[in-house]
Amino acid sequence: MKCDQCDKPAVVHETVITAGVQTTVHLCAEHAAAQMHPVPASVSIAELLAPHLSGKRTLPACGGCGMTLAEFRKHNLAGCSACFDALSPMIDQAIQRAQGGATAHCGRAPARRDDAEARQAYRARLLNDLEQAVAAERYEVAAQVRNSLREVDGIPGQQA
Amino acid sequence: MKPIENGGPWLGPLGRDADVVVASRVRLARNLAGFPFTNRASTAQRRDVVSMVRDRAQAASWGRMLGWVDLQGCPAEQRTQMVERHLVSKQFAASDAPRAVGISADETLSVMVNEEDHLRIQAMYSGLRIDECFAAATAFDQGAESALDYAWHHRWGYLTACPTNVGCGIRVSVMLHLPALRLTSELDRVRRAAKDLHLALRGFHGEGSEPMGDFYQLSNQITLGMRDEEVVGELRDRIIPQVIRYERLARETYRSKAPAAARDRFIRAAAMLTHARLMSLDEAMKLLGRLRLGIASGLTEAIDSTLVHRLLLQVQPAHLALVRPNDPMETLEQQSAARAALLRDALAPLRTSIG
Repeated sequence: MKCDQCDKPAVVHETVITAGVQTTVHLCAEHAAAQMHPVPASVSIAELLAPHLSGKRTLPACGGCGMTLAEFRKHNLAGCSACFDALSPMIDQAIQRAQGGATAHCGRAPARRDDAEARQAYRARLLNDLEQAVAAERYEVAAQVRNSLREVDGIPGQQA
Repeated sequence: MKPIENGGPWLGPLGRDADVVVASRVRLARNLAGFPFTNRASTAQRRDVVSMVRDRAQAASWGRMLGWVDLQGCPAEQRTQMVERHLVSKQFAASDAPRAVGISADETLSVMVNEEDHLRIQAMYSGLRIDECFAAATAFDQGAESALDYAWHHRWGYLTACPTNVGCGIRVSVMLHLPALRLTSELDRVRRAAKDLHLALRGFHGEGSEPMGDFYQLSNQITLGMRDEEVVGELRDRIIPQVIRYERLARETYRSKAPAAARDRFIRAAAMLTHARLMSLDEAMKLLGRLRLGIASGLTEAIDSTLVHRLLLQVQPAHLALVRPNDPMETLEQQSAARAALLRDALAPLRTSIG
């Protein structure tokens, strides 16, 4: 549809009802701006919906390297070690999908690592996940998280 | 690069099951704690990673056997030679960023620094020798682990840039020659079965490459929730022996159903290789594959598979230039002529035996 005032494509369409009479105005970006109509920025539907779907205003980004979830999804590459916590739980799903449903590492670990703090942080996150899963009555997820908690605490549990 | 007579780990002696298996490889993916992964690291950080890994390796018994090549200062032909020898990946050779590779004198161990992960430790041997590969890669890894802090996560184990590698970060791959499975149209079934078992069947140069001369790489896809020994054991004891059995069975079936055709295929390949004046890379790979099958089937004793393996490497463009230094190589036709001359010379013993 063309602008009411020139031949350019209209980007603003406004319907006004004054005293029971309906009029519709179509304006191009320039004329809309000139008449103080807000011009819509070019955003994708996904970007518009994303904050509402995830219940947050912004998509998570990694504090370590700035990697956003969208960037991770595009290249399927994490940017640094911190991504694995910052982009959770979405990155968890990507890993499990890539790994045939496996949910945790088993086997060798580096001899040198300072991990008491990381272990605590991970444990706290799991407890939080567990609470949320139970509250949402997602018992399968809750069972998985409980298994991971057992692993962190060194309690032998069944492997998923 | 040294002359190829002793270079290229898969040019070594033929081992067990050499009728089907060309070579084995184990690769470990590792990252350093405290640095962003390669895709997010600045030029300065990438330089730091290179010097940190190289310096610590050079200073210790576990890493002193590596000679280091700085890819940035490395001429293009040499980079291509390393790709052709399977010492570095194509992407690694092509990238512009600071990166280096450490290679042991016998070329069985190579360590890429700043590939998709900070470290890609790779051990490769000819024949079916997964255990030796695993031992060599692990020995370096454990040495490196004593001197470097690896990126590690409680749930995900060894962290890697791509989710497909987290956990134990191991990729075991075996290069197989499967001409009969393809001839009898059974390869698609193998491919489907491999997929169901979370294995990948890829071409001659691995990820993203086309199968050439019926050579394939079979490798594990799962690295999480399995110990590295389990991944190794599963391929070594269960999967590879089964594929070898299938291929042998297909070869038997083909030979017994069409013995004249099997012999004819071999003779035609030998005749082309010993007489042609022009030979493209694809055709050379295809014919060398047929030759290899003929040797494994006992159709000739004039040459053995080690010669075929060496030629599989020497017909690749960068190695062709290396072994025929006096031949002009500006055009594809000149390259094809040099390739045909190399094959005629090397396979001369075959000419008299098929006459």
